[in-house]
Amino acid sequence: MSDYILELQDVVKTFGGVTALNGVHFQLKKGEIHALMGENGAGKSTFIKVITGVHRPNSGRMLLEGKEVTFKSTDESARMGIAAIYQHVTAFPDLSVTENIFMGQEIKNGLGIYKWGEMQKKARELIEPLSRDIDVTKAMSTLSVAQQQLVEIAKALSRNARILIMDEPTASLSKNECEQLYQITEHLRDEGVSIIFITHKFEDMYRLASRVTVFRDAKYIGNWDVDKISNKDLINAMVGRELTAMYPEKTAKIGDVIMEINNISKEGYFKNISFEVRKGEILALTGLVGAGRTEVCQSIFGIMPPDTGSIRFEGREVEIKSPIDALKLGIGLLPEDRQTQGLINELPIYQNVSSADMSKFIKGGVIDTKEEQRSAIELCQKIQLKASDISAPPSSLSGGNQQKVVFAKLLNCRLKVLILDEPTKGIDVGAKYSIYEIMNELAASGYAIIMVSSEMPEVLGMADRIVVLRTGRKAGEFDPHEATQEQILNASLQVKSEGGAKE
Amino acid sequence: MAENQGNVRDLTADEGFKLGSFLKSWEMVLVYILIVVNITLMAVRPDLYFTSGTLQSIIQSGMDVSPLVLGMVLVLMLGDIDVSCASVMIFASMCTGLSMDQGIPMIPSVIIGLLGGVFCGFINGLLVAYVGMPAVIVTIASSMLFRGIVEIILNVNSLKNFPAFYVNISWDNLGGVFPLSLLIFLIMGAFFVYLLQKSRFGRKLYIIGNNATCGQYSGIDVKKTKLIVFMIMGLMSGIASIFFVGRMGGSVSSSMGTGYEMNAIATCVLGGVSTNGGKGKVYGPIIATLIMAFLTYTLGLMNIDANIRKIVTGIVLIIAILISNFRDASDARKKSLAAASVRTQEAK
Amino acid sequence: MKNEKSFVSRLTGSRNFGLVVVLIIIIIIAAIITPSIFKPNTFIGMIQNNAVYGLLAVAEMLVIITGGIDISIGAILAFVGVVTTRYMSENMDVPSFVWVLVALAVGLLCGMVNGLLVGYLHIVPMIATLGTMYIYRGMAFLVSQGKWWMPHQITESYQNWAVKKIAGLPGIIWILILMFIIFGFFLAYTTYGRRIYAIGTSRESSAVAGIKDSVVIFRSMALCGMLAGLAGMLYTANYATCVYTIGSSYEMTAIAICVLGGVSITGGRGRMDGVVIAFILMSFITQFISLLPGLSVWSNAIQGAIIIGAVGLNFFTIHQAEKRALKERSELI
Repeated sequence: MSDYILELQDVVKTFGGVTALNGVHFQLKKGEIHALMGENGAGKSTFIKVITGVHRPNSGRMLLEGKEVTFKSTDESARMGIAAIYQHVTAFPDLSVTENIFMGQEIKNGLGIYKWGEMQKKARELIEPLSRDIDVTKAMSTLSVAQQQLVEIAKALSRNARILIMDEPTASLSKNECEQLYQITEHLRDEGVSIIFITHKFEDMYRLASRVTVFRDAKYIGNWDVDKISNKDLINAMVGRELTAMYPEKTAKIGDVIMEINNISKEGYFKNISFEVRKGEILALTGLVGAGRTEVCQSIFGIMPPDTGSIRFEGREVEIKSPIDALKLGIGLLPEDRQTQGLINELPIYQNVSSADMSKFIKGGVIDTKEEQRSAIELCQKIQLKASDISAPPSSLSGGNQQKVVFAKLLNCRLKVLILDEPTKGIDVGAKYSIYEIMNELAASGYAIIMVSSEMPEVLGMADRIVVLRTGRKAGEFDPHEATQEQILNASLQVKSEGGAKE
Repeated sequence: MAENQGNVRDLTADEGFKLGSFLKSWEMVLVYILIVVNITLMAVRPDLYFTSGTLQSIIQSGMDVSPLVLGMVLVLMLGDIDVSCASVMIFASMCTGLSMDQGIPMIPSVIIGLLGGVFCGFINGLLVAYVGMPAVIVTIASSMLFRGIVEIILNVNSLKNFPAFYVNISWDNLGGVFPLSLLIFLIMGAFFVYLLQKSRFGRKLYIIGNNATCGQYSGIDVKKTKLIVFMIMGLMSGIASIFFVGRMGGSVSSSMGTGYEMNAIATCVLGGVSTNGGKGKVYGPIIATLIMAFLTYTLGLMNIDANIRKIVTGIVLIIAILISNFRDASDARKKSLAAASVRTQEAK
Repeated sequence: MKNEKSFVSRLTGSRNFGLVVVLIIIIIIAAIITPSIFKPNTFIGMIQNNAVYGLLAVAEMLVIITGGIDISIGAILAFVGVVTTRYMSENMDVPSFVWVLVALAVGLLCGMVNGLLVGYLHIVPMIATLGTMYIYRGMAFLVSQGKWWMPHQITESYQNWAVKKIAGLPGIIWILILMFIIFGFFLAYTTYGRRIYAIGTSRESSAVAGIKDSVVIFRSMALCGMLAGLAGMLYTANYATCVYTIGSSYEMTAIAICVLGGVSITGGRGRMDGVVIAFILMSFITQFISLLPGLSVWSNAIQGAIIIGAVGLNFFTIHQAEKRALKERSELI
């Protein structure tokens, strides 16, 4: 008999001409938490789908407790005790929590008729140990992301899962929600569930995992005991080279105040937020997810104008009622969600680049496409976009290069203030560096930059000043050269009460 | 990445004219279909085909729906739909007819009709863009409402007092050869080609149709643009009322013109405009309008009843969609292969 | 855990609340203007006259919940009506239940074609059913050859399916009630039914959960066609007359009833109780209008205005609920 509950050998999976998995190996011991790490596009998501039977591998073997298995559908893998919690929660938003938990294994009577009462009772029994404030009769869409994940866990438990795969479960959770999840995960391990924990964050791995496997470019790189590999070696394994400096040298000179935010409030999102930003400065806006950072940015950009408070821009009081006003003034936003807010995947790159300001390409009422393309090429070359050509669709690019297209779109407008909402979210470690370089260059050329970020090292490494938000209020302002990670964390978590934060 | 610095990439798009892909474009496929229909007609009824006036009648028969087709292209481009346009057309006819009955001079009466159309479009646009209701529901309901208003006002009567040029537009040929209605359609078509494919307004429609949220973040007033498109649709319904009333010999009643909205949608779809929004051009629907005219007229000449012609229309529509779906799928396959090769290049 | 809400807040929070309020207001207005509407026979006649819309609404509901739409049901109604009436009048001695089976079978077949086009060939539902609408309507003409059928050509046993009273209610109402119950139960309590919701709320999640959307869509469109076929047979039985133009734009009224009843046009949401209330409301309005002299021409305009009003109100209440939620949240800040 094998030591491993699950073992994959030489698994290959291709889509059309794309190799998503190129001969990967994986071994999961019984009752362990095994971290699976790798950059975006390393093949982690495909890997899960192969295990659960969503995809079938082109070649390779999968052994479950030493016996070779092949799954034709998720049904079959579920029956063998394998459950997965996907990165983008795969719930049915309009259906109730109960129905989500029992999807595919509903409790029925002999005639095939649902027993709703019994299902709800069982659902409550499953959910209550995980969370006390989830109403099982409510629609899934009324829950927070963290609660939805708990429902997914309950769903896995209801199937008596022996192997649980979690795909970046902490990606959009706040710190305390993460801690809650860690405890639940450990509890499951103690009950004998073997867990594959896929993550981007080293924090998750150190906190939970005993072993770690790394994929890179669809290939298997290696596996280690967590306590026997250094941080540096692990990064090396993930990116395939040493990152000498994580953050590039700053050259920008900080100038005059360009924008002042005075006491702005938005019902239900944030209250009395004030800060200022200067030319050439990178101001970081940080705090937990849900603290109101994105909403503050959207308010300044006019997506949802503030209810009260004022904004001064270049010394003048201004009113920003829509993104049109903001762009006219010279304020641009790089939105948090590239795919739905930043890019139009069906249109060529150059039309994406020109989309926020087409006026300069209009000649006699007609769009001058030649000029439009020439200008887009110039901008894209400046930020070293890697694409086959300028009329390729953005969907053909990697995450980092897609983000560069959105940058080019902002640079196409005559802007003075750039608001960057999580500019490196979902971008490979390597590609992040070039985004940082672009940010520094922009600051050096006089742009004022407001950067929203959840990653503490990024905030400390890039910012000239740090503003921390906590549950819709400003919780403090820090100088990155003096502040420590702990201080900033304290401010975002309200470990010590800050002056002015409580009124 | 750092090691690639200084290495400037050539991003120039290869936009040269390629005969092969031009000949395979959907618009050209439509031209082939048009030719095939013509040859069929020639073969089946050579006597009629070569009689003077036949071709003109065929074309004229298809022109009353043509303004609706052009307006519908813009609405579909947004990913919306307008099933009220036939009712709006009748509503606009009524506005003109009632004005004429009241002794208002011809030109103001025509303008009142057009404004009636724009007003209906405005109501639709307001509900879709600013209240946020789904376009299908809004226009199903407003279609009942607008036709209902005509029913209330006209009851079973019909209006007969229309400007004389209405009939001329629909039935006259320039120099006895070129149908006047076709000329007007082509002029309007050219304007719509400019509007959708060359102007900034058109680009906004492509952006909104593909990703409205991104449009908003790019500083486009999505709501206003939608409102304008529905108002243009209303205006085109008003213009359609001129063609339609002329075609009917200068009279209109509340029960006329039902099903025109479906013909307009079908023609757009045959012309390659996606009902999901953001895809298609104006050329396609222009050619498709002619195909529909030839198709129905040819069948008419073969003594096939109008109701049976519906079967053919339905089948043509479904086959056209199947073909274009199939082409899209194979395109997507090619694109994903191309994207893969770019990614591999990048990795190097 | 505190899930128990006060009765009042449960009532006002319910999706059907606005609908019930509108229904009550209309009933009060009707009671003042034409008290005769409350005579049992008037009421039964009202439901009987509109029962076909009710059947079509149930049919349409099955498709709308998947996120689709079927605009061919009016044409299916006509086609099936023509088929059963014609062959019945040519074979008067065949027992009438055979024609019910024929109606169900032909309707099912039409629905299966729709389901094939949408589910398996991936044509946008609106366009696919637009195409088949033309085809079925043309076929209705083809089968009828443009003929009219008058009451004397339609056997009594055939008519009885719709008009014969059992326990005071005509057959068509019994069948309608039966369909409300069967499909209400089907949607809420069976795997088949719940899969329809699953597809409508998220195709992606359904795929991961191993639900085949092609199959679900095919089945729901087939069932929709079958119900439209039943409606076609009952229409000709109820009115004892048939011509190939019957039922045109009935699909619009059916869609309107669904939307009014809280069925989300984007799929995933909607319950039978809402549709039943919306159906009664719609019947009430049409009946009310027809009772008032000179008002019958107002019917389309009023229906249109009510749909816009009701859906608009729905959106308004959603906005209000969002605002309330924001207020609640701001107390936490």
